Amino acid sequence: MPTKPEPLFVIEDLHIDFALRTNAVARLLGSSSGTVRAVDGVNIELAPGEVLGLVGESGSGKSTLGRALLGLVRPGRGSIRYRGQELVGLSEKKLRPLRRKLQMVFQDPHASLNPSMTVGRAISDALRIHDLHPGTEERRRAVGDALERVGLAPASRFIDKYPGELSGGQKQRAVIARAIALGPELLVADEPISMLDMSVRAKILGLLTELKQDLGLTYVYITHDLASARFFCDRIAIMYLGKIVETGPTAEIFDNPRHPYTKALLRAVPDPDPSHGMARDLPRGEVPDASDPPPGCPFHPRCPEAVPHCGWEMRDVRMVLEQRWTRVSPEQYAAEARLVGDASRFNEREPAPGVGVLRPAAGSADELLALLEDERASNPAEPLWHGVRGMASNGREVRIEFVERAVPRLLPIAGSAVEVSCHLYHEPAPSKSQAATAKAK
Amino acid sequence: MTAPVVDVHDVRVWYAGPNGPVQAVDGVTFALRPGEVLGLVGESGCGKSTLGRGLMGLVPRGAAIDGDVEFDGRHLLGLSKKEREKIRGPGMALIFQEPMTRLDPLMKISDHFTEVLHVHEPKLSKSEMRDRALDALRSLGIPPTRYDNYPHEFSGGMRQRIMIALALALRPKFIIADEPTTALDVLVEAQILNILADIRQTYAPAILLITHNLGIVAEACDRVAVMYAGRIVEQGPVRDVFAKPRHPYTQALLRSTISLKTQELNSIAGAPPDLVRPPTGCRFHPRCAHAMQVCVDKLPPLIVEGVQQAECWLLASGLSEAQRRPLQREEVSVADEA
Repeated sequence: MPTKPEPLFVIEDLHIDFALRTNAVARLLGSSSGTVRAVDGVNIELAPGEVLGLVGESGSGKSTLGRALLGLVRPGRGSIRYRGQELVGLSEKKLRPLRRKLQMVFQDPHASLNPSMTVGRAISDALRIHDLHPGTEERRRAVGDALERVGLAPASRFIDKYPGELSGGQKQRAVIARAIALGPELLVADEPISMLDMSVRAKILGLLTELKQDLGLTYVYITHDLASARFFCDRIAIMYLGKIVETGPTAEIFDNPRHPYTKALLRAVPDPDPSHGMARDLPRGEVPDASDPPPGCPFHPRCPEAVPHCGWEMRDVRMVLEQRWTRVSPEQYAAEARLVGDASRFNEREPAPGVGVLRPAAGSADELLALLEDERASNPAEPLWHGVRGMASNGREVRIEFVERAVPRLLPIAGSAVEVSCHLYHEPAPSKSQAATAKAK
Repeated sequence: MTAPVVDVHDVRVWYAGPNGPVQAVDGVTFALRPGEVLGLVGESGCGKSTLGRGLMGLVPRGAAIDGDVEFDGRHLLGLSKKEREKIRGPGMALIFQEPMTRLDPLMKISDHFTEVLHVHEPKLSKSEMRDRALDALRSLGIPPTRYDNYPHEFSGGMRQRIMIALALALRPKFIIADEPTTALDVLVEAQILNILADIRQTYAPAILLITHNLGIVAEACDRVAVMYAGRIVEQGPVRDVFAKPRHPYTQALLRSTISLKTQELNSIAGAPPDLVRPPTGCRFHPRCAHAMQVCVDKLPPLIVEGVQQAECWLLASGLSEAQRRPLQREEVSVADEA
């Protein structure tokens, strides 16, 4: 086996939290009512010259992870090493010289350029900040080179233009020129083509490919667009709620997707071939609230292939009831909603790990149990019921016991270069607290 | 064949720009039958949104609209503002791109429904309104438990479902959906497209789906109309047009689309023209690889070939040698691209 090149970046166990501030007082006092874990235990390496795609829906943490590579967000825990140097905890002063080597291109080219600064000035300012190409003449030449490098040629036509005078594609080229003028090693491109017209996207993607070959750049390509990721990336990491759920070489991920989330994403991409047909049986719902993510596998409530220990809980019972209520008659809904009461009843703390309790809002616990049993009988294929070990009424409340939860870990698939975080592929290890309770029994 | 519910004939919309009148829509003709979905595609600035709004009578102040829009047997453009407002809602509905900006943050979802129903169907009783609203929400998979929530308590996809439910509550015959999924994530986008397909089964409205995504057209539409610089340059059944596009612009647009099967990148040279001073003849000729002398001189005729129709001189017969002479194309640099 050939020896692997020294990685450019090594990211280990990275956690990034954002504090939630709910009201004005909390904002002023700096107190927080909770946190959102934007990046939750990510491990990944980046080899020089490679294009890594971070793919996921909004709220998956892909942009936060990309920004962390440049030291633009402060991780709570974990390590980011760039050529062996630790970036986590580095002061702004020490980060700044490194940033010359680490550049970023954002989604909206219009917002990335100062409207009152000419394109030439925007680029030469970046050079000035990093003390590159001193001397007016030399700097102007360097700016011109960068502009022509990205196709804005002849540079004299563009150097004194304001962003408002350029088209969307030209603006994005100018933003890319500003980034490469500094001679970076890594370019983090966050949705660089998604704001552009279809006919321009191919041109910008082509430019990025060209720059990679000519300048030996390494890319982190952040996107929700699987089609462009497939074309552009060498390796893909699929993210969901702050975690990498599947990663591997692009060809393998697309030819043989393993994680149910990856499969769903690929099915959902609209295909310009009319014989393809519309994707049906897609995951239900949307990305849940990141401040209180589902336990176990975060994808389990939406997963069509979920198994008993994926992490079922009371909120999933509520989801299933709400789905039921979009099917039944209005009269039946009214009666059942009276019995069940409002949504907050499902958010109560579990009296014991893996045990949920639901008290009827009106009527008896036996009626409530009958309702749940009826739903189970009418929809036995619902994955939630695999995760319910038992339901019982003690006259006052219904007690629902769930199968032990296990958090899937990102582990390699034998015989491939792919890693997947899913119980379908790896035997789950029971979580510590439940293992302990089981022993105590 | 059933009669069309919407018949648009030679519609033009122009409005004032800083450099003179902008001819945003310039002679558009199409028809939609009940239950049919027509995809309207094109680059930004080709006039597709202006056309969509123009059909509803929603043109910006100072804009003018001309031509004929026949809806359900009535000629809309001749109607007074008041009469047109009556048709909006129960007759035709518009679904916008950004659901958050279209819902009032201070009004509960239930209030949105009561307001809409109160204006357009004042005879309904309160409980009938509630039933109608819950019915529409249910068909879009929104549980009745959320009826009294505020817009901010919903996710982006849910809000778009609510927008669609609001439109459906009035049972419109014609829906204009302007980029209804553009702001949404892939999976949610696919859910909304599924919903639109279901709506066709249950309510059978005619839908004009405005989008820039050819993938969505392929999946969700029966017919497609390709718009360029204010004109529909090609239209026909999606299968036929995508399998054998007649117009060079349609061909280029399909080639430049990045899909999961993309092996190499293709793009369209140049940029869409300035609609204050559009090019003479065929408006696509400066970007067209097959442009001929006649393309500069005269507007191409509409050539009908079976179910497909396109405006292009390449499809015309009886041109003289001089007219057929290929046009010397100037080198298009990035300087002129979009």
